[in-house]
Amino acid sequence: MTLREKEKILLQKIKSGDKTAYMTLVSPFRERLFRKAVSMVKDSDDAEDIVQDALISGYRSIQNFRAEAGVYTWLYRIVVNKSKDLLAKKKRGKERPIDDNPENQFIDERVGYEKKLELSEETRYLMEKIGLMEEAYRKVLEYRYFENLSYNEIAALMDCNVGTVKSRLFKAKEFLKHLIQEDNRGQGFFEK
Amino acid sequence: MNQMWIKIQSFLGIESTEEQVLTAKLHMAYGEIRKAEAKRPSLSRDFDLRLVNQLQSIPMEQKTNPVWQSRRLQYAMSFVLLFGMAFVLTQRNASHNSKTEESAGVVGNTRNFQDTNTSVDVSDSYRKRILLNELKSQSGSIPALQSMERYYRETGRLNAAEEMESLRISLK
Repeated sequence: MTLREKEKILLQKIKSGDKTAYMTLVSPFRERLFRKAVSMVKDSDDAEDIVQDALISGYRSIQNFRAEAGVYTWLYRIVVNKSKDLLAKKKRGKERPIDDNPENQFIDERVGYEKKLELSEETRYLMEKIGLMEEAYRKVLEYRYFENLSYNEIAALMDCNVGTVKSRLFKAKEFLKHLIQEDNRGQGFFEK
Repeated sequence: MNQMWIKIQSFLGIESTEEQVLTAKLHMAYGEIRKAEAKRPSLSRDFDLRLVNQLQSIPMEQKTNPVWQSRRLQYAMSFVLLFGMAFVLTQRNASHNSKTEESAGVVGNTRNFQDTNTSVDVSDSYRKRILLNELKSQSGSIPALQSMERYYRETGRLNAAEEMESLRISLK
């Protein structure tokens, strides 16, 4: 049985009122969603609240969820929107600055978040270059290589068709290659 | 040209060696980030318990039909459609009633009669001869030519009327 088929069976159970089925459905994604939220709001407590809110919102509106898009991409979108809402709220209310360093004040930016992780020099360099690219290209790379999403799932998240996803991914890699080739530090990067 | 090449390459999934290396390194880099993130604080242990407790008191929203399935909207759309059809029909009728001069297809927008020749080419003697032979073989040719001549005179196409007249005279 494929993952999608399992999801469909669980969705039927949930729609008929089985709450434990909902926990079974969402548990494989909780940690990934949490990490996404942390990468955006940079606070694990806030991120946990966001994931909890997102999962509750998901449960509330599950009757309207259509199984064409995967459960993960659906919840991912809710988490991203809630994280953006929180960041906007914080910005408006100036409750607390997101980061003291102005370079790190970004929204929905995995690249900067990596600065705080222990990473190899090459990964750090690659992330630095990805950080210079437009958001659409950064996102498509993240969805494909970090989230390991299919073209269809990426298309659903980016509100475009699969052809656009493929073209965007290709261009993203072209730009990235160009950025590395232009840079002195990038010498020898493409040698196997 | 470059754009087209990019599209073709992306469509066919062609990757140069450099791109293959880049793809591999992207996989490695993001994989490394995933691993590093996994070491960072994760959800608290009682997260599931809290969530289950909260779900107990959360009602599930009823399935809402998409907007286009709303009965009100359907009625409104039907009304707009009927109104539109009625408007178009009224306008058509109104334009039929408007009295324009009989044109026989030769009236321009200015309602001035255009005195143009018919499509009958009688200048060519060979074709004229064939035409005359054909007309001679038909018993009703002369009355028909007379009535056409009269029609063209009445509608102001004098050149055409003269053509009919010359044909009629030639038949005699």
